[in-house]
Amino acid sequence: MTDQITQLFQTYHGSLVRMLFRRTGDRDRAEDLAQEVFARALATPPDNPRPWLFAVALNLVRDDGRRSVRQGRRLQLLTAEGPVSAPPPDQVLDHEEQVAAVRAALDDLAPRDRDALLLKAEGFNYEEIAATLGLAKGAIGTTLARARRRLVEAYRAREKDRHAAS
Amino acid sequence: MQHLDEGTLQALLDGELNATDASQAEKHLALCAACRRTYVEAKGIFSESDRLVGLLEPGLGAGAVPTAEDPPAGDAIPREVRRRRYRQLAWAASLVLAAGLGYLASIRHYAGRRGGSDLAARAAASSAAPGAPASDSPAVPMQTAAEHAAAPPAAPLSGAQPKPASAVNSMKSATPPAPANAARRESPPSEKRDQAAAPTAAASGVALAESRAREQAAPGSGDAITGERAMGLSTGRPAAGNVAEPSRTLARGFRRISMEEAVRRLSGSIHLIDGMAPQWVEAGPGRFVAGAFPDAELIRVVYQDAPGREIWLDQQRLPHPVSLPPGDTVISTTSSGGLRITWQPEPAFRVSICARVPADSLRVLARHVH
Repeated sequence: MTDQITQLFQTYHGSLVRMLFRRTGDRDRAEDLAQEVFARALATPPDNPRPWLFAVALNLVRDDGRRSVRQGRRLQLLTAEGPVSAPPPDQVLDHEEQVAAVRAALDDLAPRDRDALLLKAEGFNYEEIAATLGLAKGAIGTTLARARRRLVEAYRAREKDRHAAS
Repeated sequence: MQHLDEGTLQALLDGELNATDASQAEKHLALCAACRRTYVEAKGIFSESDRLVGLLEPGLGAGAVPTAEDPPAGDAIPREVRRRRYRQLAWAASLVLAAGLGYLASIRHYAGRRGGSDLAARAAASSAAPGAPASDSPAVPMQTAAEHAAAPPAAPLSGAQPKPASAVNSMKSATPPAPANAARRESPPSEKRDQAAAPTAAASGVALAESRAREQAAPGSGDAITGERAMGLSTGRPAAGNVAEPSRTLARGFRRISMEEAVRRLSGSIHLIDGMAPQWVEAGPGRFVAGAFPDAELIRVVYQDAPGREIWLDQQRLPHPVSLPPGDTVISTTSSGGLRITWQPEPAFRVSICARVPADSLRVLARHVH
């Protein structure tokens, strides 16, 4: 069983952390959550691992959402540490503001739409998204269309507010 | 005429329709202006949404995943691995010292009996630098003497010929190992047994997952995520059998391809560094790489030197001849402190080598690109 989990780890860990990072914006938290996912996989080896691992990860993020205050603190710490040779501060600031706006727009989406979008960004096809989220395959196109439209609309609205304020 | 619904248009954009459905949808789009407008609008939203989600990838500020512009520094090697390497190096150095002293003592004893002193002096000189590289070896700036001595003889930097693309797979097994494996390579024989049984990064991640599972199974252990974040999980390195797998997340827009595909995408020719074995090959848009031709695909051959620093050999087949200002070679620094040398061996073929190494070392490497 450990071999199987090792194989799963090698295959999916990077992808899982990347998806969790997109969702949380916190690398430490993403890796903690990924570790938790594999711990659960060890306890209950999944039959269909990819959808299972990502479904558990998305559920964990949702359950862990109450810790957003802590996440904010961690993000500040990450920003304060920064890379040794960082890009120019204005570039970093602009990028961070854009990322914050995108993340806020993503938070505005319905959980199902958001999850579908994140899974698509990780290379899932419609069938895999359907299996992960427990939806009909025929509904995925509509779900993604709505998620993309709402994400862009929410982002544009935030950007408009940001520019109006500055 | 029934219009195409939102889900079908989205599936068409995502390439999720089968050939028959896609063909029907395209025929309908050719005839229906209203659906065409909706399709164009959906395509715009699709691109914008992808761009926004792409912004969420680790990059600026996080410092954990490399951008397409700059290779990760050698000091990106996990601290624990570095510590282990230093411990092992110290151990190996003490063994070499002990052996050298013993050898010296025996030589002195032998010389004393033969009445010769120059023999002992020569032996002392040779034991002081066993296997030291020649001073003009281009590998010296890239490696410490100890690492050079420990490097496998299969990968000399000078005098070797570039390996044919078809041999890439076989080269992978002889490839200088990734940093985690390099640590194993430098260890003394008595430790090799332990390390053969030591967990790979993935296995150590699994071991920690196991310990987490045990914690959860223990009564009253709770569900909180503890601070014992796994080295293996957070700094996962490829297992020994997978040294050709990228040891980091690929930069945004980049994907891994085979050497054969790279050769094909570059219209039949590829440049390699003489005597070094490529770790893997990536392809991505030129617009993500500063100094690259933005409208041409960029092929990146990734190498690693002994300390684990990545060396990128980027190349592009340009759609039309372009001259590089000024002259033929451009040396630039990247935003993260790396160095890049760019040149064009042909009017429509651009090559650049990029690494976080001293300028002299990079120039030497550039001279070995053919």
